[in-house]
Amino acid sequence: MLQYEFIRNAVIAGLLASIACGIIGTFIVMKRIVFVSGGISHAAFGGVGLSLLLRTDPLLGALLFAFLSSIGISVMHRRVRVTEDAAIGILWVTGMALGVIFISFSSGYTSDVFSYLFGSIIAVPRSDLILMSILDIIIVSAAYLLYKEIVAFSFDEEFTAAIGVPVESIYLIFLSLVALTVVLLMKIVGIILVIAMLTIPPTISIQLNHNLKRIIILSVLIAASLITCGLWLSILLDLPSGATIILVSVAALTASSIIRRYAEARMA
Amino acid sequence: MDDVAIRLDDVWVRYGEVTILESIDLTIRRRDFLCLMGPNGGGKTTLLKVILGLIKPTHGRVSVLGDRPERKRRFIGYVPQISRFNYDFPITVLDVVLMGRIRHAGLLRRYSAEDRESAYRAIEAVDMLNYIDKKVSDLSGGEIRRVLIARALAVNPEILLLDEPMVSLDKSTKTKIYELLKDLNEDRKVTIILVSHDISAAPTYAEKIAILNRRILYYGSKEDGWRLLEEAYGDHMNLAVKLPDYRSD
Repeated sequence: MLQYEFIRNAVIAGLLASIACGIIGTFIVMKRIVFVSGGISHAAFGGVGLSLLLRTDPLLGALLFAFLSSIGISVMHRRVRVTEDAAIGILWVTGMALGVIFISFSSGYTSDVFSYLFGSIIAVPRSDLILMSILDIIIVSAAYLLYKEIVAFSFDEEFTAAIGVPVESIYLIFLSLVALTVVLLMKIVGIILVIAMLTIPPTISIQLNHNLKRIIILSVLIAASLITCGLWLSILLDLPSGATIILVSVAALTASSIIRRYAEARMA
Repeated sequence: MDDVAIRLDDVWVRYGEVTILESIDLTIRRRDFLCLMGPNGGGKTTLLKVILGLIKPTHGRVSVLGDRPERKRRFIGYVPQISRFNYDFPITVLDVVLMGRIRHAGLLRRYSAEDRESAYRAIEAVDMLNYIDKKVSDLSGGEIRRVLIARALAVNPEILLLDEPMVSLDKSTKTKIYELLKDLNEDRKVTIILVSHDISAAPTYAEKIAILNRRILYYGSKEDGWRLLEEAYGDHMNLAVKLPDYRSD
């Protein structure tokens, strides 16, 4: 299968996306901000719409909107704590609505829209692979350099603030990394399914492991195998790739949960 | 002026219609050991957070070591209440205590050998060396409290703020930690504010008492404070608590 360039590109894109989603996804699950990342990814759809209207690369538009929404969320986090949840919901639907309006002005691109919502790993051009690699490098180096701050912030935000770590900046940086990850994943599984790839691999990894660094590395490996496996199945059975990857992931999560239960029952 | 650790000047905290702190004037000197008491919801935790700069007063001025609280955070060790953090987090005792060294280590850097040494010493001080590689989620409530105290000690603080650190600790651990605080206060000249409901023991170790219920109802020596509490509660006091030792002096 790998002799076709588009399949080779798809596999490489999947591997590139796994790096980001394993690292950032672990912290998202740990810090319990799945909903926040959902908000950022859906807001990115506004950017996709705008790019289609202006005929620029939709990844750039998505990046812009995801960034803006992560700034918005981190400001809300500081200013109006109580309503953060509702505010994220509003951001979520606003981004989607803007996207739809923009797209309605740019007729003739509707088939593209479907691929951004549900992913099209088969149609990743080489230029996107380069962009994805750059995003990965940014994400990995930021996570490496700010590891102890991000861990402290995720574990106990209040103490971390009390000791004088600039938690608001750390949160903003972290949400920006989420934004980058969302854009990376968008090509693979689409905006609507991004949350699944941010949460399922880390959740399986946490079930198998207790050490944070190992959880992160294992999340990356799990994400890589789920995406590759889903991709292979989708080609084999002629199914949409994004949705197949998600279903393979859900099946893996279910299997791992059952095995873990069984193992615990035997240990007890 | 120089020996003032914390000064609050007509500090108010309001959330909408609700007043949490009302006109708080408080001067805490370096090396003071203050026990902060008062009913639940009386604003004790809020007061600590005002001192930490985590809550901005609606009105009034706060200074810590002669400066704004945000600028002096690296000199403050804080032991929060246990209820608020993420228990499931896969992290070991050592890694939690190392968080106390995060400012010393500095941004973009790993923890140094010196940071590790401070963390070890702090863990030893609360008698948790045997648990150093255990996951926090496997510990009991009392053990987690000792880890949180160690984390604050690892900061090597000039001011130590403890928010009900003794709840669910057994008696011998409690005594050990009180003695530890006393040593820090006397030998290392650490200023301590201890929020506690433990009216039987805490005032024995503290030098001063403040009673807070939205306003400071009393602030002064523990002997007078005790008399006041006794008057307020009358004979019920004897039923409720074992009176501390110094009353027999």
